[in-house]
Amino acid sequence: MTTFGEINEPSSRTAWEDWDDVISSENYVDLHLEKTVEVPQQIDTFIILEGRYLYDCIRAHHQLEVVNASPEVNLRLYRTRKMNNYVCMIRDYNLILSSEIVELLKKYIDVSTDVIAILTKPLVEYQVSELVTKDYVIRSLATSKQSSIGLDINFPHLEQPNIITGVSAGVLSWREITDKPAVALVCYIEHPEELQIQELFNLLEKLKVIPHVEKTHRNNLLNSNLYI
Amino acid sequence: MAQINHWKKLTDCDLSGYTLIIPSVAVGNVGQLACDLVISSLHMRKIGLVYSPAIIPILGYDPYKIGSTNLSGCCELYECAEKKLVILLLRAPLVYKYGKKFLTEVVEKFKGENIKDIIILTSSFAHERKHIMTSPFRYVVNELSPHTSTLRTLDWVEHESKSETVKILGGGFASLLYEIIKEKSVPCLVLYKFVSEGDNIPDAYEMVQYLNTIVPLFDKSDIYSQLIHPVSWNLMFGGPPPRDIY
Repeated sequence: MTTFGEINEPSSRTAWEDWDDVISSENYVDLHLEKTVEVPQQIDTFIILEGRYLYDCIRAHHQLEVVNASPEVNLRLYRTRKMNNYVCMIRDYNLILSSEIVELLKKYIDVSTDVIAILTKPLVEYQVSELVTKDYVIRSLATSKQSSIGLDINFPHLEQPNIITGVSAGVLSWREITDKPAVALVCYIEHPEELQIQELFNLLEKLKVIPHVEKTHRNNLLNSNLYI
Repeated sequence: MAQINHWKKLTDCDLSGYTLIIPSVAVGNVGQLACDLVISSLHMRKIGLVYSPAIIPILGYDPYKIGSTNLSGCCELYECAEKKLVILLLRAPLVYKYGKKFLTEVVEKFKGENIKDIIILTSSFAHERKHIMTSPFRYVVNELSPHTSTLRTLDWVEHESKSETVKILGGGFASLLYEIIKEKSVPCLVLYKFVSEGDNIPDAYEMVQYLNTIVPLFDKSDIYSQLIHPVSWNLMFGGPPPRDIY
């Protein structure tokens, strides 16, 4: 409800900082990784999994070994047990900190032969002129330098005017500027709690992030008898 | 964390004598939309990209060419040799913590390239317009700007400032950038419009028309017919409504 004469500013910008006020440097967040661990000289594939859906997909499995973390931004860094791959799992972070998170990850990204970012977004954010009738849509974005790993990632390109933001966008931008390959898969999804997206699971299995697809199950409250 | 901004040149260009336009991320994104229109209409060439921790990352395919597989990021440099114009387009807000250093580097870099002047395009909250019968456009100019004499001949309203520093409420980093430019003794003009958030495409058209008075880019007779909507403006208000709602 509004009152006559009241000025209502739209909430579209509430996520951003207010440049009209001077922000005290005391409010600045300094991000860091918890442990001081040695960065490997070479990583085959650096995998970024962004969002709660992907977090739920992998957390039940024990294919990964925790290497480091940054709890302020819900970031966890893992190493796969079976391959020379690293996995960065991140969810529910402040978008303003995206580029700072990328800075934290740069030392890993720079030694990686390839980078794959997978992120989820609500299906309503997928903008196309036709009606979307599917439960989910997967689209890809790739850097100019082609990936050398044969993972057979053949998803259609992300159509304009759709864009990605955040850590995945930052990592891909960095790889583009340094002439290295990277690909991002954007999964627009309607009901994440009900769906198992086979294409993503197959890819995560190939990268040894999760075990064989048949063994996977969503281990959340909706699968329990608690709220039936 | 050390702040390192990376500039990648795609083509070598001599920018001496060029006018640099920088849109500030502000209310209604009018400056950015106006730059989008100019880039798209003049078929400007991308000559560089910038990666900086000062900018919130965004990524998509070329917003000016449908079906393109060239990536476009949060900060890119476009050039039009014929008009001696270069635009540093920022597609995402700056991070306050790193903003000043980034903007200082931008000014120093282009000063080093011997550009003629800098024009900042921005906007301010509509409710900040105190004299409602006047034009919704305002300008701020420093004494070095080559446009000062032209501006005196026009019926434009100058920004009213209560203090020594310029404060454009809702104008994003425009005020800060203006102060940096002034400090570095680079000619500068700030052009802004009082707007509200919503469909700001008409504001962008008007902004280009105003800009065209100062920097001739298009034939003045029928400017709107010469402007081309970029692909990125499609579906600005979403796709078709779902059938289930009827």
